[in-house]
Amino acid sequence: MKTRYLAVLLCLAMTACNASPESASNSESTFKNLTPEAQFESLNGEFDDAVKEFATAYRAASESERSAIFENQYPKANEYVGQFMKIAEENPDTDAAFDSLSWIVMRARDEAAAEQAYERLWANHIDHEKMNDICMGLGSATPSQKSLDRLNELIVKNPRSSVKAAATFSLAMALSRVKEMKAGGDTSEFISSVDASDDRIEKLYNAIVSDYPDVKVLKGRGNKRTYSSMAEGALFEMQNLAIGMEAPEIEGKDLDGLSFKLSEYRGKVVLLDFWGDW
Amino acid sequence: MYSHERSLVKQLADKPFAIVGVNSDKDRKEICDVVKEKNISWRSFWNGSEGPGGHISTKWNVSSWPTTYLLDAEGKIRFKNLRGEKMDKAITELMAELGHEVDLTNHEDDEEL
Repeated sequence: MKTRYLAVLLCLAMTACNASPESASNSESTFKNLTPEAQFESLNGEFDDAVKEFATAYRAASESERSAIFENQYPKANEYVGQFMKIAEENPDTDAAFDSLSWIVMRARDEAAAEQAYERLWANHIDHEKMNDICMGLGSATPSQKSLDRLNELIVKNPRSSVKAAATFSLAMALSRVKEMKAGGDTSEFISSVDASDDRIEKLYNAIVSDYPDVKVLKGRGNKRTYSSMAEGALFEMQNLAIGMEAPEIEGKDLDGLSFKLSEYRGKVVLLDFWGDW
Repeated sequence: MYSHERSLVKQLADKPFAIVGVNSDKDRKEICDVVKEKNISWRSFWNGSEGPGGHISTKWNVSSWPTTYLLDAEGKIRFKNLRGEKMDKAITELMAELGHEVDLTNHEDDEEL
């Protein structure tokens, strides 16, 4: 009984040993035979599966095991950069190249690789319809001369209003950030050299309102919002809610349904708190 | 945040100071229960059943919660989005402008109710 059991085990082990190198080379050649788009999907799926696997293990683990699981199992996006870059290099000017470069820019924490990916995106894909995904990231990152130049170039060269609107909004956001940095005492050469005047920022927001009134922000929580409604909000804030300005009146009902006004508190120092219990 | 605010209300009870909330919860009844439970004594506007998409926060271009503004006695916006000690320092400064010396360096942080 025991011998037979061992034999089965041995047999299984041998099959496994024999099979693994063959299947590896098989899967490698299968990968090469895929279309560039399928190669991207396959690699992207592999990363997503690794993330899911990590999340499952992390949730199942006890508090004390979690840091080790995070250390060992959290998929490292940087390790995938080389493979995505290879897809982009081998298949220039395809959607797969665009998707691979986007992946590097948005997922990896590797500045040199991201810079290389940005360069390729702007050189080969400046007119791509999905460039709006990329430029929102540029708008919220710490501003640099390169990020401002890239957004400007995108506004001029991409033919789609969805991308132009996103790039214009991102440029306005980046310049607002420069303005804050100036106000906060940043006197570095780059920050000092940028015109981040209210006039310039307002012109960008106004251009969105007049030129792209219906373009929707597709991603994230602002799903139903348009760039123009966001631009109008930003303009209202610049023109009515800046430090030193008189707070606009609020008229409304309290939680019991009784009407009151913010101006009733004149004469007192007021902490106005936009809050929610979530 | 509630604990810090309750402490401010308590310490500045006899001073010209008020907290005015703009609540962005969708369900008004639920939030009324929270107000009772957490001993929130200050008044809040209700942003409406659209929650964070309601009319007041939309007009004020609020995109993250909480967002805070500090207004002086003339109703001018003087500080935005301060928290903790920075907020205490700014309130102390605004109270001093009205001739009230206050010391907010010792908060009795009550347990979160």
